[in-house]
Amino acid sequence: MDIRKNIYSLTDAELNSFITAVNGLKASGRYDDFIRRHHHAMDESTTLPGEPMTFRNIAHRGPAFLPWHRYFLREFELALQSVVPGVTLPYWDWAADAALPSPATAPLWNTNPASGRIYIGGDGVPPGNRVTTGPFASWTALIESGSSLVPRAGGLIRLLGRDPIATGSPAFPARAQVEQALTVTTYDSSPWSESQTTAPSFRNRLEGWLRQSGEAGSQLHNRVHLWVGGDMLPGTSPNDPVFFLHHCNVDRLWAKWQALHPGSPYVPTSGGPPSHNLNDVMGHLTTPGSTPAASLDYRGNLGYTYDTGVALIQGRFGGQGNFELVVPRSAGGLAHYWRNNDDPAFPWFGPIPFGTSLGTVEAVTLIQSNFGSPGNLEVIARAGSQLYFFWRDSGPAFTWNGPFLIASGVSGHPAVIQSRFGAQGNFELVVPLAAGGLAHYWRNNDDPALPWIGPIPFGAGLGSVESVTLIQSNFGSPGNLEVIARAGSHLHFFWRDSGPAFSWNGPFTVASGVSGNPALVQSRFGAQGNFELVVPLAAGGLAHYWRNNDDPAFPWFGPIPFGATLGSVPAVTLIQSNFGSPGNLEVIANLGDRLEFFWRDSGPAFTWNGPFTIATGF
Amino acid sequence: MTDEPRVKEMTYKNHRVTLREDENSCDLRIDGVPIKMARLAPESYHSHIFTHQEFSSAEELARALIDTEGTLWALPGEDEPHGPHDH
Repeated sequence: MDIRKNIYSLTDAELNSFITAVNGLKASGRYDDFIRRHHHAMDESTTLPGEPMTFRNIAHRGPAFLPWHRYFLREFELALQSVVPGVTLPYWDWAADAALPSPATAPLWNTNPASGRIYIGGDGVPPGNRVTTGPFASWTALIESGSSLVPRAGGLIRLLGRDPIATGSPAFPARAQVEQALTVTTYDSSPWSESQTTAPSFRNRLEGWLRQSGEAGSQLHNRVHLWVGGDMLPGTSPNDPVFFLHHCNVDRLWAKWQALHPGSPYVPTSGGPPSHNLNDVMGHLTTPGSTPAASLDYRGNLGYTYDTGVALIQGRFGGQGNFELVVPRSAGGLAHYWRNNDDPAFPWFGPIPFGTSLGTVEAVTLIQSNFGSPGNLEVIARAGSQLYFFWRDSGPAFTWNGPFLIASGVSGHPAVIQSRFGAQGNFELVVPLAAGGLAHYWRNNDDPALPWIGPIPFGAGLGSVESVTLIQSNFGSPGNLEVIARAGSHLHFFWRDSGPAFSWNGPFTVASGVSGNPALVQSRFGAQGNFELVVPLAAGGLAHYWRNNDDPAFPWFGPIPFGATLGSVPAVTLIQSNFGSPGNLEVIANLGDRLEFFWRDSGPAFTWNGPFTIATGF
Repeated sequence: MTDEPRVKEMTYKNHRVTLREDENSCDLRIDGVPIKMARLAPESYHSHIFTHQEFSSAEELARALIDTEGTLWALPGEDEPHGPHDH
């Protein structure tokens, strides 16, 4: 299962792999096949007898716009993997860049290595507006000439936000427009085209023909094409690799919409224009059986998903201690859920949204601190390459405060704990760095200014790290920091002594064949307290590992697989609760469109129970 | 009621543009070459080339096409596009 990430979240190694794969495809000529297929699809009109004029083709201006591009992107992604195994297609969350004074200054277009990473090169250079910078400089494009495509040497053409052909200087799509589109509950409506009607249509809204009051011209997907300008304007728009980043984001938004509206079916099932009905085979794709119906389960049928996170704790609210859960929302920001553990029915409450100003959040970590009474909830979330802090008071207002930026240049899944260092107990944070390896930050909770200190890098030898989990164990005094990090399909263990050297030791490989993010606790099993680890398996489902801390060799046991029916799991979180004795293991898996709960009894059977769906459409 | 087609000819950047419109259809030729386009609604002209946008008039669309001829697309017979690139 492939996990697609925000391009700003890629590590340097992942970005390099993507660029290498794209350039490899271009050099082989296979990249140009995608330009041809997109152009040919656009060239093939499909209409119904007697219907009003439409410019619908088999891939655009109709219901199959989203399914056709879903397959097209997956075929491109698999082609990339034939060049660089394991590479996945990143997405460009363009609505996040809309918040900038000028989206053309977004990191995606950076051309100065001193200012940050180079992604896909910069704007075109007048007068020819050719792209002369970045990894795709000097590419030869294919352009339409009559019924064929002919080469055009000299580089791609871009005019970021300034292409006069695009009706002046079109404004960038705003996040509010994206959020509005996600509220449309109907997938599409007759006449199944680009026509401006009052009929609701998520597809027509996202594609960009359906406008809201006060809007003019093309919107959303279409507007991004116009804003980039140049080679992104015509039907040969896959000439520019930003096409794939853009459409990956469009596909991600459709996936979000699917999660938000699980009861809204794809339409039309029949009677619509050829190639656009639910079970019509869509042309100019290479995947057998590529129908809109088969595209709907993108995880199961196409084998990919989008990065996300989830974080669970058992807090000190309530008599038993409620479960508190924070998860990224499909519509942006985060959602807080809680389970009332004093109610025998164990009902879940939520979602309680917060942090919506962040837009897309890809990863989150949560603790209950000893600030306030019974303790504030403290959250760290990653959006793009930046970490933000939130906290929620202990009541009665229960107000979420934040976001507060605490770090940049990060990637993957962070992990935060409140340690036993300092009088109050400092916050300890470990997060993968975009440049590779890991970084440790800590917040001095004895300083009234509560300053964050770091980064303290370690584990650089691992290269690209995708996710990390952190505990403070009862080894050493006041307790060592223990970290498990996933790099590729391997889990690696690190530990840091309790001082005074505070040296990081590792990596020590623990497991292979894993995916997503690991989740680690020190349980109350054994005399010392074993380490318990749950992690998604690359082959699907979850695995439980444990380390026998009463054995001086500290052997790891596992994998003990469970939850295989879930398929790919992007994110998982684990606690040991105070149910059972010494305490059940409780796991929540985020599949992107739903949260699934598992629990394992405290013995002697040690049986995993679940999955139990606790939330959808969040 | 008569439905006489409106025919307009003009020259733009050394290209000959011929527009022919009636209530039901719209035809655009550049240097005699027919261009795939349609009027989907009043002041809503769409082309096969610029597939992500609409133009308010056929003349505006024709000018956009000519401004990019040789760079973003080419009239048939032009094997090595070069053209003016500064739109």
